Amino acid sequence: MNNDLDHNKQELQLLYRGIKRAKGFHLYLAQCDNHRLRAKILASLKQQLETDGITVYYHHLKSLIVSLDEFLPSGLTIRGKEKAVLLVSGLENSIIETAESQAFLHRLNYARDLLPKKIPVPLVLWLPTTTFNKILTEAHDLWSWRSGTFYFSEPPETDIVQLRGEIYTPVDREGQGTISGKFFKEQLDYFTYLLEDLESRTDSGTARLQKADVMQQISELHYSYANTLLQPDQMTGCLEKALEFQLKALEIKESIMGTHHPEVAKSYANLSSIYGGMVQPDRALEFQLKAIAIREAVLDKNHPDLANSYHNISTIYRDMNDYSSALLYAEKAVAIMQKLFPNGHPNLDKAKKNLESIKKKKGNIT
Amino acid sequence: MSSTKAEIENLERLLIEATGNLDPAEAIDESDPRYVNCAHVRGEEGILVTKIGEAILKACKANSKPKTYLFSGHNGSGKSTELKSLEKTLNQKNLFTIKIDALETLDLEDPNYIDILFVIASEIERQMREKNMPLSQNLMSNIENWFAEVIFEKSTDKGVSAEVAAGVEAGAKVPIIGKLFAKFMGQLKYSSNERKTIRRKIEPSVSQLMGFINNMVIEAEKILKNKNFLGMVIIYDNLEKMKLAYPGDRESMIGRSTHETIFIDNYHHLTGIRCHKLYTVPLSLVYSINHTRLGQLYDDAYVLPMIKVCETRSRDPYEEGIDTLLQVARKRMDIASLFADSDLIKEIAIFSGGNVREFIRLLRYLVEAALPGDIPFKEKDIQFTFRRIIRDYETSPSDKDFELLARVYLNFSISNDSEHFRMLNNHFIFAYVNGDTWYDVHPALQGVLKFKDALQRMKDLKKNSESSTG
Repeated sequence: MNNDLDHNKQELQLLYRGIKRAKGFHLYLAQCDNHRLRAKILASLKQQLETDGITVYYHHLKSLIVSLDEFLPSGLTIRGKEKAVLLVSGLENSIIETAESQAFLHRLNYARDLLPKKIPVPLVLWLPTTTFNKILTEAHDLWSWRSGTFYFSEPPETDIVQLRGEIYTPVDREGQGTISGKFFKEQLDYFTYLLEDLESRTDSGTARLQKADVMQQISELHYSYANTLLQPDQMTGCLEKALEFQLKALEIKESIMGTHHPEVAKSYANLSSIYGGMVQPDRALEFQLKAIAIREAVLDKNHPDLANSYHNISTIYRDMNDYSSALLYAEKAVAIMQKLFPNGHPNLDKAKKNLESIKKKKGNIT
Repeated sequence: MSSTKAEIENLERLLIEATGNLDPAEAIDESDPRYVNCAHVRGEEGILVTKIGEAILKACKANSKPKTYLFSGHNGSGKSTELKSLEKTLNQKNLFTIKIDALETLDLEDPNYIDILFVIASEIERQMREKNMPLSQNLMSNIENWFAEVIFEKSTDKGVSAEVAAGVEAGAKVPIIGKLFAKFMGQLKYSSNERKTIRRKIEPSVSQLMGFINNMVIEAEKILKNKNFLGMVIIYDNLEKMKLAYPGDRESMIGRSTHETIFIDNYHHLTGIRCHKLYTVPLSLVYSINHTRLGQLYDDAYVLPMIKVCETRSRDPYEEGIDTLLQVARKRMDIASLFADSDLIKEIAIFSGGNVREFIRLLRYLVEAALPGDIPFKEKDIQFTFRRIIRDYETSPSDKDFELLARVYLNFSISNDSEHFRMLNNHFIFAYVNGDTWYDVHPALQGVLKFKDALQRMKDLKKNSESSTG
């Protein structure tokens, strides 16, 4: 579990020191594409800062915001001399391709004098890469008066992310063997504990999203365990648990983020994998297509998640003997992965292998 | 030898103090002890405050035609600081300045020349009144009547009073006209529907509005002269932040842009106000094909250059500019204690490209990230800071952008097109004015691998083409 934090240790320390030394308003931009990773980083940062007597305010912006007042949680006023920091995530929900959100993005440019009046403490905006780049190019005044930028990413060995249940490759931390029963149990105990802790909190939007995140991880864990350690005739119970938690996570995410959000796409993709494991190819196809529809609309065209979806849907079509569709998506997957990964990378190898196998099968038929 | 607790605390204190003095968003003025005059190292255009101040003073004394100047510069070049200095200089010379901030008075997402004129009228009235030099009731009544006819479309001023009563917040001592201006300023800034309505009503009568503004100016100057002022100057700041938009399809970038519509097509309104004026304008407008036209329409268009840290086009270090930035650092931190060698700061100065805000940001990145044990800073710490800034620019420019930037790097020039102006606005390209106007790529971008690859490809292409023609 600490692999994510270890990988981001230096960046976390830089951010921690920056916040600790800052007096008054300063703008920091923190780039993080992974919702789960962000939750971990925030928890660790919160712990360090609160130990130093710095109050941590956190606000997740759920939907399109129209004024800077909404950066602050409702009803909160931060006093000028308070030792505190405000962490804000979810701005990407306000910066999508609509006229209102474009206008909001440009208005951020004019906020240099306004923001410090409203937020007299350091402000850390947590952004995915796409939104981060939009700030740079379209709110360049805001960009130009940033005091720091920080980048948080998943450790390279989890590019495959067996726990994400998408392109599943049974590789553990040491790069060999498969996930062990012991590892599975430890992880499951941890996430179950987190979930129980969250259940006891007030049902705020932030707590609900955190619950969805934990439920998703429990789902992914069950899926990985089923795929790694269980025989096909033993998998059903585990996959049903994976399905149960993933559907619960999806329900929460859709209600808070809407149906057109990358996190919702992730749930659809996971559901596709689960139904694939349950040998329900039609449902697997249905959900993967939904995932692709969102990812094509909101992600960069060379995003790894899009590559994952293309690869996975290719395998579904392949197993349904629709080799033309399988080939189309397999080629798309390989094209992106060649840009993302060096030769020999397991993801790229797997995708190439799939492409070759489809070409062979297609060749045998024609 | 390990540091004692007292030593560590002292070093931490130095780091905290330095961090406190290194805020990239802060604009200081001459009275700030950290202020460093950089005019002499910006190039011949650099002594801006002096030039404009002297020109206006001369014109005032000679009672000659009012001047209109445009003023621009990169983000972080020190524009706000220069304007504060200009305002102070003008005040010291007994010129009354009406300082207007576009951020507070306009919706910069939807800019229009009528809004600018309206704000100018409103601010003249308000600022004269607040300095206990109110304009005459007679003049104000004429404007009230105009409001009644044109905007409220009512025949008597009873309608005006009713409009004022309907939700205007202002003090009891504020005259009706002040309340009306305040009300409409609010609508112009915050309500897009009301704004369209006001513009639609004013536009056919804009010459009357101009007439009123000039009557206000004439009267204000009489009042000011009786109080031993030489005259009035309007400084309209932050107009350069207005959105660059084109009619129709946002991506097409055809037709007249918002910048051109205001500063070129309606120049006569901006220049027609009968006192001296300075408007800030977007850098891309000044460097566009409109540059010559701007020179014809306005008395001058000044660009605050970057600080010269490299010789023109050769990129050899320019010591005087670098030393000036070293002074900037010296006034904000204890460099003797914090740096192993002051040459390290010179490296940072060069890497900043001569942009003061970038320089301060680099120092902040360095200091904020440090532990007491890192002090004094060494080369490795500087390189780490550079890598962090380079990282900021790795993912945003597209492959096409890097090709364009490589061309700029090789040729020290830009083309007059929207792509290059976008790069200027985004700070991917810096403009320098020292003996010559030339352009260079942001030093941080020069460190990005994709840029280096694009540059190498371009150099190879150039070499191949030279050897095939040679």
